Amino acid sequence: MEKLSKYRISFLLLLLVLVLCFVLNISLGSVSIPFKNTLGELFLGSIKNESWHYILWNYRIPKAFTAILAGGALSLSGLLMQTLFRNPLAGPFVLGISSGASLGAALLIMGASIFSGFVSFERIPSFSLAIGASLGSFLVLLAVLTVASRVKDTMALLIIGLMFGSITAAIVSILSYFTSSEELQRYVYWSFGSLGDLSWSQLSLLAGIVLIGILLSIASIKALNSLLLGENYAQSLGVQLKKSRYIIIVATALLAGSVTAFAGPIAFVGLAVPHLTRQIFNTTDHKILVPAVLLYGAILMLLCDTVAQLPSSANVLPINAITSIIGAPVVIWLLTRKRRMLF
Amino acid sequence: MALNKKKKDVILSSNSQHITIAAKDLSIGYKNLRVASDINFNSHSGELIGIVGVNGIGKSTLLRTLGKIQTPLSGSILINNNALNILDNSALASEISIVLTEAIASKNLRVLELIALGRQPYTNWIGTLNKHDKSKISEVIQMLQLEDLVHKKCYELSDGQLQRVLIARALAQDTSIILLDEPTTHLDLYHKVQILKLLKSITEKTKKTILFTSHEIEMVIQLSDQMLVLKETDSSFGKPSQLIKQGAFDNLFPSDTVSFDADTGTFRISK
Repeated sequence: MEKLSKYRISFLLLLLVLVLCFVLNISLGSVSIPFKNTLGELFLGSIKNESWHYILWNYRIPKAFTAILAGGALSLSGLLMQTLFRNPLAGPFVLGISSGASLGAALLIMGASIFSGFVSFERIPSFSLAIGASLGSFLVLLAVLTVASRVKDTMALLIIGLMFGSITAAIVSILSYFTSSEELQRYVYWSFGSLGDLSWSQLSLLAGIVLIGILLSIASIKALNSLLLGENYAQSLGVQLKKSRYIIIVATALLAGSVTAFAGPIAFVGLAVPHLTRQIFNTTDHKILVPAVLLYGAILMLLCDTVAQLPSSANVLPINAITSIIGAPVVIWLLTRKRRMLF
Repeated sequence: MALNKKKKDVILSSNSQHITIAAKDLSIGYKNLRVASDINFNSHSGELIGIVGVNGIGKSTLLRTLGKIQTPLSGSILINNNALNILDNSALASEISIVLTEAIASKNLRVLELIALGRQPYTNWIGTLNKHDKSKISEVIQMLQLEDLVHKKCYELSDGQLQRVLIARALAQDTSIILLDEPTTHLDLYHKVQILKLLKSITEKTKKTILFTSHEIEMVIQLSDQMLVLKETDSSFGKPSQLIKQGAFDNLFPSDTVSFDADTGTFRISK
């Protein structure tokens, strides 16, 4: 609808900020590495110190990339949900995607010992945890989709997603009641969210899935724009409603499901970033919003992660808590400033 | 393609009595509820057609059926000589545009963005507007005198302004038929007349067929070319003056409450 060139400067600025946040993020951490050495390592590949090299390339840089992917993907899935459900409060959590992932993780961590007669597995590798969580979110989504094909009203679909979320949350509660304290602790740790557990191979898998989600979203831009008028209007504009709805839901599942699987549940980013972006770019056109939301989400997540690792201390705060602490006030601020949440 | 279009134009100009909508033995309603049946009418290009009837008789249902938002129970609908049920969404989008009573989902849309959405059936996969699209949009904005509103957000508009903007969007879609569901509700007398006169002038200028539902029977009698008086089984269609002669309005409402005065074309409260 609008010229992309009008926003070229804003996008260039955002990209610059993203790069700055990336450098800031990887130069801060529990081990202090001088800033110029970080830059040297990053751009020239000059090895001054073996352990610095190791920390940067095997810990901080993959973590920063995970933050970029997680922030961008969660925000984009939030945007898709808000437009599809015509509800400013929709986010990746409403379709039960995140709770499905939680269920998968819970079954794997806590269910294993309960169902195998209290013989606990020594340690479940994080890779299979990711697969379990993905399976969980995929199954819940499949259930929602099955119901969705019978329900015409999108609002009803929203409530069905919430109900599935409640059911999975209840099962997780029951599991936690019967499980050992160690396993419960491990599950709670997973639910804190963590960006730092991904190896390069896991990271590339995550990147691949997120990329498919982004491509599906780009393919849906026209349908998303006409959905701003409502489903009946969109249909009268030639949109294949059922098909578009499926594509958008699958894109959301890939984006939010994969991130939750690998990094645990991360709250509020998906809800808050699309609203922030609409405020700053002052448009509803998804041709602008899709890339903008990706950039803002990535920047915000990098900043949250920078705060979470408490620079120059050995402690790392749970990322899920930080995003909520930053995200919730943003939503409150938006509401009080504009008196209403529009999408 | 261009040749085809030319041909179509020639046919249109040589025969102003081109039939845009043909409804035959139409029954409308829902699975378990038939609201109205035996609806027959033909609409022509350049006609303003008002659909009136008592509450719940199915005016909106008829409009939604014609717009393929819901399916008819029986009977046939031809849109420019093509059966409605074989037209897919994208083909229909260049034949019929709609203005509904339901609020648009996002009031955060800017007026210009909203009107531009009307061009979607013609734009590429990502919705880029070309020169033709843009000139069509500015033509519509000029025609409806919306220049001062284009940069406003929809939540800043009054009901009457929003209605004009929605009509502009339908016009930008450039279809031979426009369907409007109760375009005058929530408006005061002045704005009701303004909207209806606007519709009238659009049909005269653009030769489009406009069908709209309304409760303002007296105004519709004065302004529309044809009227459809919707009743459960014996709906009547024709020029307002004919319908008055036929007595189509006489027993529209219970006569102990309101009665129709054929001489003035108005309703009187029974005392």
